[in-house]
Amino acid sequence: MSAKRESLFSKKNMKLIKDPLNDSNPISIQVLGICSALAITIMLENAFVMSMSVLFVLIMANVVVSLLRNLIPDKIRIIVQLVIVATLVITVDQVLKAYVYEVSKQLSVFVGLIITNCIIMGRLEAFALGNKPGPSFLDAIGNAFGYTWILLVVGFVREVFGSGSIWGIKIIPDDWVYHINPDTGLTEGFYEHNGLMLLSPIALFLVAAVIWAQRSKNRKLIEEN
Amino acid sequence: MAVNKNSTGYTFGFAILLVVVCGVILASLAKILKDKQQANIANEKRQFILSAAGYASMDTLKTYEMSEIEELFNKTIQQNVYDFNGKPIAGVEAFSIDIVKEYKATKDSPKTRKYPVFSYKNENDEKYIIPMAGNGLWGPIWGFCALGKDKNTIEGIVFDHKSETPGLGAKIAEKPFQDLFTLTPKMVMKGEKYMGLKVVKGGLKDPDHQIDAIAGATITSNGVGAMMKTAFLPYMKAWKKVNN
Amino acid sequence: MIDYVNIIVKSIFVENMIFAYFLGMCSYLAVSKSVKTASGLGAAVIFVLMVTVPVNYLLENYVLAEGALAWLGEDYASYDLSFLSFIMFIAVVASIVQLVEMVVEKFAPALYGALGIFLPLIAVNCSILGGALFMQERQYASIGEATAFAFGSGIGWWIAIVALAAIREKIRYSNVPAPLRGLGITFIITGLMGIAFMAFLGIEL
Repeated sequence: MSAKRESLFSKKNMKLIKDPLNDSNPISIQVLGICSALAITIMLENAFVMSMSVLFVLIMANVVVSLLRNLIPDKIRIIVQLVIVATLVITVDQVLKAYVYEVSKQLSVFVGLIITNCIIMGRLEAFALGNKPGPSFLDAIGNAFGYTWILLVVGFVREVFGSGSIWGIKIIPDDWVYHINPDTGLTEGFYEHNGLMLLSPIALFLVAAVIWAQRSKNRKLIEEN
Repeated sequence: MAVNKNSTGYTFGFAILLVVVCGVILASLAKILKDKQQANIANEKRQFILSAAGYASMDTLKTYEMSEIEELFNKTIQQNVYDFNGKPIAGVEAFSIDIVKEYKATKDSPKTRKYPVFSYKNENDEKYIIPMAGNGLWGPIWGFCALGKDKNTIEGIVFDHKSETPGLGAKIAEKPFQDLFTLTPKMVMKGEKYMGLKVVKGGLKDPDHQIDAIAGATITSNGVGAMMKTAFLPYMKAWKKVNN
Repeated sequence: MIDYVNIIVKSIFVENMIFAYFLGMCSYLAVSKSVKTASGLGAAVIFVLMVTVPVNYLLENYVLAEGALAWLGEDYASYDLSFLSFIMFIAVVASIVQLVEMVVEKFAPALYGALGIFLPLIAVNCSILGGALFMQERQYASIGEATAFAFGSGIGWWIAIVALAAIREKIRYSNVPAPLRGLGITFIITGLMGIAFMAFLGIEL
C-alpha cells in the first residue's frame, strides 16, 4: 500500500491548489460565495479577515467531512455537512468571545456569512465527500486562496475609491475632499469620494471586470451565450 | 462494509449521534465560557457609559484592567430606573437591565418598559447618561447618550451594534460618526417641544436637531434616528416632574 | 389586514432579498439561463420559505429565545438557548428541504419533475437562512405576520430571478464582448437591476 501511495505534493495534488486560483476559481468560474464577496469587500481589512475565516473553516470542514466520508449516510449528507460547518463556526466564535473579546466583535458579523458561504458547502459536496483528507486539505487551501485574491482585488478598489484609504490608512488627505470649512463657511477641496463604491452593486461590476480580464487572457473559459 | 449506510436505522443512528456530539460540544462550551463572556460584556458596558460621560476616551478605557473599570464605575456613576411616566422604580439596579432585551420584550407596550439612567457628577459638572436601543439593518443597535446639566444638550455619545455591515452601517460605532453629535451642540428639546434627533441625508436644515446620515447605510442611519427619537421621551417627562 | 399587505409589499420591493440584501446570489446567478427553469427555482424558494419561516418562528418563540421554555414550567423559564439558533435554523432548513423533496416525490411526481432538481440547491441558498434570521431579528408579532414576510420575500426572489432570466434570454441577440458572455454580463445586469431597485428604498410603509 505504501508503495502505491502518492506523495502529498505530487503534481496531481499541486494542481488542486493551482486550479482554483484561475481556471476553476470559486467566484469567477464556479459562481460560489458571491453573497459574502458583495457584503464585505467595502474595505480591504474586512475582505482579508473574511478570507482568513473562510480559509480556516474550509480546511477544517473539508478534512472533517473527508474523514467521515465513508460514514455519512447519503440521504442526510447535506444536513450533516451543514451541522458540522455550523458547529465549527460557532465553537470558534464562542471561544473568541470569551478570550479575545475585541477580535470576536470584529468577526461575529461574519459568522452567519461563513456558515452560508456556498464555497464551503460546494467544496464539501464536490470534493471532500469523495476524496481522502490529504487532497481535501489541499483543495480547501486552493479554493480559499482563489476566493481570497478576488476579494482582495475588489476590496482594494472599493476602499481606495470609496473611502480614499488602504487598510484604513488615508491616502487621500481630508483637505482634498470637498467640504465646508466651518470657520469661513466656504467650500474647499476638489475631490469627492465615489459613493457608488460603497454600495453593493459595484462589487458585481468589479467581479465582472475581473471575469472579463481573466477570460480575455484565458480564452478557453469563454462561455457560449 | 458490513453496515448498510443507506439503511433507515443507520441514517437515524448517525443523525442522532451527530446531533448529540455537536449538541454536547456547543452546550458545554456555552456553559464553560458563559461567565467569561458575560464579564466581557459587562466590562464593555461600563466602558461605554464612562466614555459617554466624558471620563476618558474609549481607547484609553480599553487599556484599563477589568477590575479598575468596575471600581471606577462604582465610584463615579449613580443609577436610577424610571417607568414610562417618569416615576422612579425602586429595587431595580439600572446596570442589570439589558436595554436591548428590555426593548424587545416590551416592543408592543412601551408603557411597561423600565427606563434606566446613569448619572455622573464631579465638582463642577453633571451628566445624565441614557441608554438607547433600536434596530439596524442586520440586527440590534444600541448606545449611550450623555446629556449635560441642562438635560437637553448632548455632550457625549457612543453607539454599538451586533452585526451591521463593516465599513457602512458599522461606522456608527466609530469616532467620526459619534463626533458629529458633539462638534456643534445638538439639542433634544426645541423650546418646550420634544424633538429627539433626526438623522438626515443631504445637508442639515435644522443643525440643532439633525445629524448627517452615513452614505450607503440608509437603513442603519434611519435606525439610529428612530432610536434617538424614542430614547429621551420618558426621561424628559421624569425630569419635568422633578423640576416642577 | 393592512399590516399583512404592508409586510408583503415591503418584503417584495423595499427589502428584496436579492437586490437589497444580495442574499441567495449563488443559485440566482447559476440558474437564470432560461425563464422556465428560473421560474421553477423561484417557485421552490417561495414554497420552502413559506414552510421554514413559520417552523423557525415556532422554534424561536417556544424553544430558543430567552424565557421561551416557560411553557414547560417555572423551572425552565430562565433557560436561554439562543446560542443554538444558528445551528437549529440551518438544521431545520436542511431537514425540511429534504423532507419536502421526499414528500413531493412520493405524492406529486409531476411537481417533483418540475421542482425536484432545484430542491437540494435550496438548502444552501442563503436567502432561506436569511429569511429565518430576519424573522428572528424583526420580531414579528404573530406566526401569520412571519408567514406573510416569508411569502413576500419568496415572491421578491421569484420576480428577481425571472426578470434576470428574461433579460438573459434576450441578451443572446446582443453583441456582448466574448469574455463577458455568460457570467460576466450577468453580474453587470444584476448590478444595474440592484441600483434600479434602490429607488424603492425611499418608500415608507
